[in-house]
Amino acid sequence: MTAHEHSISLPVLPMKNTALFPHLLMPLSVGRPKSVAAVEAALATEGKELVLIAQRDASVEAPAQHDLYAYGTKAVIRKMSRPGESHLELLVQGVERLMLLKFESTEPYLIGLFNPTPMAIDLTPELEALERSVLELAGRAIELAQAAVPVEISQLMAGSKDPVRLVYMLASMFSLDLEKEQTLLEAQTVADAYRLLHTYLSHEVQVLELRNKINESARSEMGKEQREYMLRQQMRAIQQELGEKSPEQSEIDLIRERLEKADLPDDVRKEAERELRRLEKLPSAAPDFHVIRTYLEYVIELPWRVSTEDQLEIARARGILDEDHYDLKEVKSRILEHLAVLKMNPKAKAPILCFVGPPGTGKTSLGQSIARSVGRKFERFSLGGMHDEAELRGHRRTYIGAMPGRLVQAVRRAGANNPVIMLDEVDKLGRDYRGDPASALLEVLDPEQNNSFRDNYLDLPFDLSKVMFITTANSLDTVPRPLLDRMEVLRLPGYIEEEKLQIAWRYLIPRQLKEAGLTAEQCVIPEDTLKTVIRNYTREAGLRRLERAIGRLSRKVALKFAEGSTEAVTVRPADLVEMLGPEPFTPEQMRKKSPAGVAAGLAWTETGGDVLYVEATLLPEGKGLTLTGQLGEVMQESVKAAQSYIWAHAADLSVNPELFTKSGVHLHVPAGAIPKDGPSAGITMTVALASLYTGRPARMDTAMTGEVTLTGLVLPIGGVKEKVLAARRAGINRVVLPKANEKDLYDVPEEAKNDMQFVFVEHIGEVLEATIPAFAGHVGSLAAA
Amino acid sequence: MFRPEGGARPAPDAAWRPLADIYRTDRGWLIKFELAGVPAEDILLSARGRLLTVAGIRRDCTEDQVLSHHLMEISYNRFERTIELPCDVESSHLEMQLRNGILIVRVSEEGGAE
Repeated sequence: MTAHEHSISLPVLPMKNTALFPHLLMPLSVGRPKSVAAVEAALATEGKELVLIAQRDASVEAPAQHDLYAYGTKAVIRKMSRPGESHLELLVQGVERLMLLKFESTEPYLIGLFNPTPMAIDLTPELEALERSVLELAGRAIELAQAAVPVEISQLMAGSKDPVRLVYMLASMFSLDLEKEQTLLEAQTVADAYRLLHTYLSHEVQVLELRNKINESARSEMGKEQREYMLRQQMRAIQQELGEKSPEQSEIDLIRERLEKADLPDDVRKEAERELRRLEKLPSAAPDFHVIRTYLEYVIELPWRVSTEDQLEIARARGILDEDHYDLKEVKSRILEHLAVLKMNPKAKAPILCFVGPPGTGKTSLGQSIARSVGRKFERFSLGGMHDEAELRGHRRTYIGAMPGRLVQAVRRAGANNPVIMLDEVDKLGRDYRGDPASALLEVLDPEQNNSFRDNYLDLPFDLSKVMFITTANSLDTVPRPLLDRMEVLRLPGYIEEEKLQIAWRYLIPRQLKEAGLTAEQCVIPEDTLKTVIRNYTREAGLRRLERAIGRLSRKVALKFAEGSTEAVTVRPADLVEMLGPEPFTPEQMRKKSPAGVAAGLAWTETGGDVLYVEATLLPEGKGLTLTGQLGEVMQESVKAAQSYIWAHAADLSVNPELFTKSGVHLHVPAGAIPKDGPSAGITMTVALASLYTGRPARMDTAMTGEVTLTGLVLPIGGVKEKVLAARRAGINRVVLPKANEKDLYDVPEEAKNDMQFVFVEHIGEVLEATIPAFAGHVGSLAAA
Repeated sequence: MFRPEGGARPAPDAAWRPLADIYRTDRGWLIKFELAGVPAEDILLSARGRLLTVAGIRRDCTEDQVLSHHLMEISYNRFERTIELPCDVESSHLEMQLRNGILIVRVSEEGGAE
């Protein structure tokens, strides 16, 4: 656009952050010297006209042409005052839209050359539609904003016939930002302006609706609570009027009634009544109300003085124990002893027993059976993985959600103060920064202290001395010494094959057949089958896998019956591969023939004993001793001791001494993957090496166990019963044992003792005579050396 | 949401409105407009139907050399005021007189007042 005859030249007043629409009045504050100069120039004219143009960037103090928008508004100064020397207050009125062509002058104030560019007015039905819908939107926005609209505005809005004026008026009512105002000012046609305004207003309406929604929801939340409070107050008033009790009061009365009926020790009653008085004073909304109520309920429910009567009939108790468990003579007699003591002295303290044994040996079920035989309640919980003292002793009531410890809970569940409480897995107690539950157990398990056990939650002394505690553990290594001191340890060593057979017949097979819905006639599992299952399918000290295997067999049989078969099934050992899959274990069997350098040893494992062959061989060169087969340190040392012994007695054994210096030895103990340790293979190592260096084979029908000293003394070892049975199982009937272990044969079942031969030795010379036939009769003298 | 006090306010028109008094007279209506400082040649009186409109322009002028403005309460430039009367102004007889800065318009109804 270029200048033409309508172009006018006027002073320019740049504006920050706002634009002026034609037809509108706007107060202005002018401070910039150039702007003041422009205003003064306008005031000096007859018409008082100048042009207001918005600045693109409010921070520019001396705007050039490119800092201003292209469209501005011609305005007449209606009123003016000068409150300060260099500061003017104006009231201006927009007249018409102008477009800036160029600045004619920039000093002392801006003078621009402008062309009038009024908006095109196209009076179409569309414009009318736009106008109406914008009016509607504006009405909605005003309503949502809940602002009082000056009457003149609504009247003007309704009465206005000029669409241009209307659109500017509406736009000025909402605080649009400068960019939007300017875009509206620059609209080419009125319809465009309406469209723009429509967009802006819909956005405003959305924002307002959202805002109101948020306010609304906040208000209604508040309203609900207030309402509830009011209703409660009213209810209270009504109840008072009717002489009724509030629900809290009736609740308190109920607790009082129960408290009066409960059989409580005096100090407990005193404390409980004090708490009850506190409860009455509290409003039911107070958080403490529920805490105290729960506490009182707990105190009332605890069996402070309730005990079950013991069944002290020894014969009956023995019958129950025998019915539930096979053998375990030692444990059973300990229980019966205690019953006898209770009969003689009812005030006797209950013993604290600790059952130690491998998994599946019936520790837990024994506890149940003891409770049954004595006629007491049985409760158990596991200490495995417990690492917080508070679990055992409870949390103080000040904590949210505080509860009594497990012990008090167990007593409450039992409903009597003399139950049998079994604490399982005492060897798996954890400890961390929250305390050491083992230390808390010290108090619980000490008969001198536990008559006034203080739970943190109860904060009242509870007598645990009548409780019969039984703990269980798989191993005692991890049980803290002071704790172990307080308990009477009873070992459940694991069952031997004969015992397993008996247990299977008496308990496991009937139980599993019943589970599978079979009768004893329908499914027969003969002895040889059972033995194969025990030996080759379950290598364990306990009975869990055996029971599972029997369960599997009975289910397979049940399947046959379910499929229509009516014939009774006898499970043969040959059927086992089909029914249970391939044998997972193959026990060491007696080797029929063997070269020099091999000797049969015996080992004790958690699952019973095992035969262990020691193999040694000479190497063509080198010197040292190579040891393989995952041997522990103690075992490695006993190999060295054995070698040294033979070297030292080379002459007596007629061994060429050069062998020791010229050739190395490799000693291996299969199976290579299983770690082994302990001194009990000492004599086996010695025999193997003696056999190797002399070139004379050892007897394969003989197994041996014993620790050996450097001077050739044979020392006693442990696990005799398991080792002897392992030898028997492998088909080895002659066993060399240390003399000192002779007494341990007492534990070995008679039937095993009868078909086995035992050689008791005190010195290695005797061992060599007994095991290497070539030495028989002439190395015994070593003992004297 | 709404502009705070001091924001742009819509004006009735892009011109200032002179104050007016309206009297009923025995012959019709007498209307006074306060138009000090406006010469008669700058005033335009028009009638359309029942509407009487006075429009024009007031120019500022001083005899003396002005150094700076300190207060301006008098409105200048275009003015316009439309008054609706309960009679047909267009067909009435109009009489205009400018006296001491007051414009006096007499609207004589046909047949006079009842």
